[in-house]
Amino acid sequence: MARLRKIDAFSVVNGCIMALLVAVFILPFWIILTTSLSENLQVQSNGISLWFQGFTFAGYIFLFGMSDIFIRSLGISLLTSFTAAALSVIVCTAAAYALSKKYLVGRKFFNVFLMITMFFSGGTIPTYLIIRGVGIYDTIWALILPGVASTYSILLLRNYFYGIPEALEEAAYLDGANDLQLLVKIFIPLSMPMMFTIGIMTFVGKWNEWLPSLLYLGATNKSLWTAQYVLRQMLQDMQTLYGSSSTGSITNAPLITAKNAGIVIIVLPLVVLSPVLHKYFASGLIAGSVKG
Amino acid sequence: METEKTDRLVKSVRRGPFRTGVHAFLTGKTWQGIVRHKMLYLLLLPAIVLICIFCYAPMFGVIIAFQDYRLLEGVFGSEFIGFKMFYKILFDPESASYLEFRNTIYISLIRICTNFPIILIFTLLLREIHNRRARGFVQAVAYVPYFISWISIGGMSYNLFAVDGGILNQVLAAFGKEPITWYSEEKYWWAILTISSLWKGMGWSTLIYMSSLGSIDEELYDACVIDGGGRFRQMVTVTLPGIMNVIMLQIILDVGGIMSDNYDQILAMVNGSQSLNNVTRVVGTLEYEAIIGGSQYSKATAYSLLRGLIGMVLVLMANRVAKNSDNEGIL
Repeated sequence: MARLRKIDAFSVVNGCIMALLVAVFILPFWIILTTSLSENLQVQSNGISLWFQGFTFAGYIFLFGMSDIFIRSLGISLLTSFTAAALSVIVCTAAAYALSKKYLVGRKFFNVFLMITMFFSGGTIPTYLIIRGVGIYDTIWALILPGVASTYSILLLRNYFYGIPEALEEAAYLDGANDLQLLVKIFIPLSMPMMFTIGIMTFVGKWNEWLPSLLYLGATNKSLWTAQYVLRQMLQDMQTLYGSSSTGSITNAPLITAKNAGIVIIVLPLVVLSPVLHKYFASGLIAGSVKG
Repeated sequence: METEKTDRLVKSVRRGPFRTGVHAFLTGKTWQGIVRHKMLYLLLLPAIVLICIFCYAPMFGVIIAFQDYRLLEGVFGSEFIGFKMFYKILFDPESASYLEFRNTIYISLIRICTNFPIILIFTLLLREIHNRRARGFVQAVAYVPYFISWISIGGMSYNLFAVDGGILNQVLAAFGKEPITWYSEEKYWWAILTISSLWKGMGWSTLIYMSSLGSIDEELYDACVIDGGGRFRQMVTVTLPGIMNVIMLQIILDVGGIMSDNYDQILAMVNGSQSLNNVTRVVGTLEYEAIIGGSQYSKATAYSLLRGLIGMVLVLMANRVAKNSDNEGIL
């Protein structure tokens, strides 16, 4: 039923509110972009502005040229996020496949075993002590491994597997396929969208994490710092960018624009990809809200 | 002699409990099922091992809240002190950190009590935009902050709050007001933390409401219009009841979050400012300081455990209330 809607006062006010909100959501991103491309001296004297003050890449050049700390941290972030995402998809898919089988002996026990972790957690300090205890403290594995086996992801995948027709499995089973072949030949090809969702969620989660760098790495181990953590250190003290060997002067450095350049580099991929991220995150959220 | 003895032994074993116990088990369906599908257990193994290490081991690690834990002596060497630490952190003003505990609760309470209704209103207003493209655009823009880290938001907000040159102080100056040193004024920070939470989570939180709004029968609205119901009546009598289940779910989850302190956010937003300690130190700060400083592990863990227990009790209570009012709970 098509209804003609008249434009009344409410629609106008509502439209204005929405326009204002859109501005509030977009402006902070716009401001880091304009500031990062401005002349540092002008920003220093005139303050942050909504428009470019001059146009220069000096901030970016300083950020990447001063030392290899930032670019290296980007590499570490990519490496840890990607490894964690890949491991998470593999580990969770395997576990979810096993749990989706009604004939798995002890299935109830394993389900409860997983569910408990959604309601209880040991907290920061015991986790830290365990990470020291298993010997991955101050290694890249301390950044990767925690969170790889996520109950939430396993349950999402398990529910997805439930939706795959049993007839397919029986046919393959009669052809002599074993459990592993069933998984590789039938279940994985049919579950790519959900596996991709898990991978993307893990990747973005790891990319945005920074407390592990602070807690699980030794204070001086700069070589493993992730991009988020380097950005955090930079925001507080630009001296971070200078290696321990060189103690250069930062009086003439484009500090403000370089800081904003750092934020832009770290945020930009996520902003550009946000429609894609939205699609996958939403499918995860909606699948999760269906009771399994 | 020897063979006779073994024969007798074998016979007695066959007659004895072995036959009905282990032997029956080994030839029974259960064990055969396990053997036939041993591959499945192999597939399950990595996840189980990782969960044991990173979820269960820390759960047992909370035992250090009942110890006078020292890093060098470890969990097994440290002295067991029972509930002494809990007594100390609750009733002994000397060693308790009431400030951190208070801030944890206040910040979350303010956040939940303001964000929840605002997000709901935002969803309802969003639904009133009938141009699909415009609505899609607003939603797409509002989602973006959900995907970025608190560190970047901390950096972005510095452009806003910087003492000289910050956007806010420029606006104040335009109105002829004195600039405010945002990073040392305690009174603004609960509001700043609340608003930044809202900015980050608002768009995403509408998603779950939106998906259940779609399932409301359009005919209900038509019926309401025929009965003379205006926009507001439609909202109250059709929309709200239609998404009540999701609202209750959100409330339960929010209530459970009262004791979580968003330490990630706070540390990123305050940008290293020490003069905000009175309002921004939370239980997470204690845990962090214990790890960095290498002491007070037991005290921080005791607080963390207490926090977790209170959070769980709150969730169970909210769940009970939701179920008693004819809504679905989560458990």
